Amino acid sequence: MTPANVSPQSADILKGTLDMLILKVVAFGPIHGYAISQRISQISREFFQVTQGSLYPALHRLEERGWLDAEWRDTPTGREAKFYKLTRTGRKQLEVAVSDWEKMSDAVALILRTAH
Amino acid sequence: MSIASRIRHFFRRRREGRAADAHQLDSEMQFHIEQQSADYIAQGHSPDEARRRAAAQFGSQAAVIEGSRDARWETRIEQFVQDLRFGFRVLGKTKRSTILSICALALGIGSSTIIFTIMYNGVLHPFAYRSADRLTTLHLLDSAAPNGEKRSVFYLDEIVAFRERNHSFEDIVGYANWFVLYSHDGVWESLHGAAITPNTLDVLGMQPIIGRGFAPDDYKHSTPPVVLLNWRLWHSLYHEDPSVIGKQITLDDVPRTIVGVMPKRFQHLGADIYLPTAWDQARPANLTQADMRQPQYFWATGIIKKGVTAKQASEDLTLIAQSLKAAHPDDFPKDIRMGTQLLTDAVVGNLKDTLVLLIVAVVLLLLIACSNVAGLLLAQASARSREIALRATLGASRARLVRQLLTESLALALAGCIAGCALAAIGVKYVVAALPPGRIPWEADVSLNRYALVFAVSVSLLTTLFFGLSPALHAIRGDLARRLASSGGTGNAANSGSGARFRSALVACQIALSILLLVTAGLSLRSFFALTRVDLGIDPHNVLLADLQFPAQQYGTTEQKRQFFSELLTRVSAIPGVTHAATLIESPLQGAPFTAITIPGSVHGEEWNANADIVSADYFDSLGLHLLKGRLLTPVDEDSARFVAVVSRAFADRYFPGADPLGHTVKLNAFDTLPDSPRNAYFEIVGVVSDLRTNGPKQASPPQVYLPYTVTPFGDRSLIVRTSIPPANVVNSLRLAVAAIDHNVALVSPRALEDNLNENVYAAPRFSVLSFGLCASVGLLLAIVGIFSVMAYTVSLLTHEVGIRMALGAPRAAILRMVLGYGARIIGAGVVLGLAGSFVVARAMRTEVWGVSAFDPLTFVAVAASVIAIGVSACYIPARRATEVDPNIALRHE
Repeated sequence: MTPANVSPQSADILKGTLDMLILKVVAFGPIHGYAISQRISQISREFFQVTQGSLYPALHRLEERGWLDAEWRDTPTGREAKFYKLTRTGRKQLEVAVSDWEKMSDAVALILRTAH
Repeated sequence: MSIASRIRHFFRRRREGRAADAHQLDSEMQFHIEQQSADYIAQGHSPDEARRRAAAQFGSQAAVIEGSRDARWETRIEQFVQDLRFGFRVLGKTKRSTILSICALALGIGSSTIIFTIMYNGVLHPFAYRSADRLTTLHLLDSAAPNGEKRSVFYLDEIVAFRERNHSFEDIVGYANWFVLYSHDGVWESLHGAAITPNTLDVLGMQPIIGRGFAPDDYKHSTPPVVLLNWRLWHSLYHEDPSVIGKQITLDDVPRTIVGVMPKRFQHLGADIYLPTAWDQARPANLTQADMRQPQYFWATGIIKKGVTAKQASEDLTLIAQSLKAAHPDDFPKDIRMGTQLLTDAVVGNLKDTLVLLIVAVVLLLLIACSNVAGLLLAQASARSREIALRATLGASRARLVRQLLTESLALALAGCIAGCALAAIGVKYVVAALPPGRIPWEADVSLNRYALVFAVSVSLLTTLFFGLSPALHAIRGDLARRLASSGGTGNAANSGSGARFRSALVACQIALSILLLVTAGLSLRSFFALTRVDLGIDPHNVLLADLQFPAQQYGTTEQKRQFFSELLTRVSAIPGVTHAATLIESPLQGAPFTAITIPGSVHGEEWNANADIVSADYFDSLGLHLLKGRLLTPVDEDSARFVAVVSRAFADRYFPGADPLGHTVKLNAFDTLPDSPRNAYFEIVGVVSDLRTNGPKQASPPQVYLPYTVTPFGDRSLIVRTSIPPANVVNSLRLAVAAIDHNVALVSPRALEDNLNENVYAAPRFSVLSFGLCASVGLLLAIVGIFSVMAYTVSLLTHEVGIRMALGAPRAAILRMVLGYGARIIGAGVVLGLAGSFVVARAMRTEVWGVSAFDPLTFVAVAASVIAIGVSACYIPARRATEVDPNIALRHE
């Protein structure tokens, strides 16, 4: 993903978070790839722009790991699309990732506030 | 998903699904773009513009598909298979070095697989019995005796006591040798029978392949006698005919019914036949010779319970032995202790030491092969540096490049592994045949099994890392893009230079390792020569030995034996080609009956003892012993069974130092207990003969006493015949001579003394010489190939420099010196390193070295000198080529 206005150095740290964001978005219910990218960009108020070049590899990686399940079904417009949904291990993984992230962001915030 | 179903799934997907998969990915992307364009249209763009923008935003569809595909594990395997295929293509392109590498790897992997197979199947897991790793033999120990051992055989009632009262064994079996005469079609043969206790087959977990095992009734005296056949006998005598079940075989004049044939790997005691023995066999009150034919003493083997230590088992059994001693105090020493030994440990003996050294040797060989291949790969990598740089520039990551290069190495290792396994499959037979006889249990099935294959594959994988990693890392070092930019022929000089240095270091290591191997081989060769130079005191050439087996309960008296032998020896002496013939009890050089002795009038603290043999007059000439003093035994001594003795020089020197033994008397204490032997008999010493190294060349001649063979009827007798023609040629006449007197007497295992010596004395050191010598020569050969190729490569790099030097007027000799000097530095470094390591190896080898110092200067100097000489000559051809460089061509090349 290429977040707007984020320096390239931080891309590495953010790389791992894409999986978490995807899992979070998928957790709301079955959703197809395009909608995932739209949702992430909407919720982050356009801060994250998920490119297709990272979205689809990430989706397939998560599917391969067994965290996401996918099936082809019709969209409301009658077009067939691949819908992703969270598996049970995926849900667990999301909880772990969120709690890790919160711990880390708390720690980073603490350092930024106190260390001068 | 299980691994198997994943793999199946993978291949199915590979076969049918790849297209469908790509299609699915494709339509997913398509959907994305359509949605995006729909959004753009909703925002007010024209449909064309919307589609264009969506497509542009999406970027390269192919890259996304590729990226999504990368996330799947199948892709990794596909890449791996691609790399492997590419690897084989690369190997195919560089045929010469590929063949060299595969040969080197095949030798390394093959030889280590052979040794592993022998070690694993022959030494560590020779038995197919149930709980073979817990099979334990029982021994009675005497703490007061010098070697601690009292006896390893027991009366059956003792074994029954151990069996019923112990708490540390699952069960205990008893077995004993029972040699029987077998007659068929008028021919007599001796068969090696084994008396086995009723529980044997169940405890060892083996049942007959055809027929049945022993039933409870078979142990009763009232039922018809039965016998089980060993597989080898069934194979050699009955040609694996299954209809033998129920047939009769006459053993020791008793017809027995064959009830079953044991499987191939049931070779208990190496016996030909198995005879049932009941647990309640009575212990005879007074031993007669007839009793001695049926086994009285049994070995005991038990399966130790899981978790019970040897110490616990020993304490447990010692308590039982102490209670047995209360009933039969004479059968036990004063201070008794029971010992146990794992059967696998008991059978291994000293082959293990040789094998451990051999493992070290093959590992060294493998290392030489690996560094050899690493050197070749390094040369290839420098030649391919442009290709690698190009791949890097086109976006391959370093990790991806290393993976690819390692996969190529793996392709090499796989080819080496296959060739190595083929080599091992053939070689293991020859190595097993060359093994000193009797060192591997009969039961062992030494062939390439799945464990050996697993071993070979793991060694190959390990070697891949070993020889592949450093060249691969070396290949991707430095600025790959700049390398591509530099327009030089094979890449930039700096990289090639460091590659050459690395290769030189590898070659130095190869030379060092081959020096280690050569020193090992040299030391075993020197020991072998030292061993063969020892004078055994006899002339083993053209001497034939054979054992005689008398029918049960016949020839039990001195007079019967005297009549038989005086007639036999007369007949044998008349055979053309026979110069001397005699009878004796024990074959020389196979140990001898050992007894405590008493010499009246001498005072001594420690026990005096001697080897004793009971011989006829011609024995000394048959063997080639010289009379030193007094006289030899005569036919008169035999006929009247006179109590006279001839002693050896060692006997005289030890028990009559500085005095004349003639006229003194000696008593053999063993006669006081042996059946039908003269009690309290003193023999007058009438002669002294030269020494004989009965216990082999490594041990000094023991004191020896020779008595006329007519003083006791006891003991099995053998024949010794000296011939003027090859001894095998008189065997038939010998058989006829025996049969002419009594066709019930069997001539058993005729053998040339020289062959016997070769097998028992010289086979083990010869095996060491052969195996270490083979390892060392292969290692040296590989090291020579290594130094030759590194020198050839160096010279090719130096062409330009040599051209300039020659253009500036350097003489050819100087060029030759320069190149040879470079090679000599590598060799010198290797030799110094190797000699330093050899001192460590020699120290480890001390027990294997005999007759010379483990730091034998001659060996070390000879090895170093020959390696330097051979190494420098290997450098000479490339060096000569350097001097033939035409400066014009070399410079124009630039």
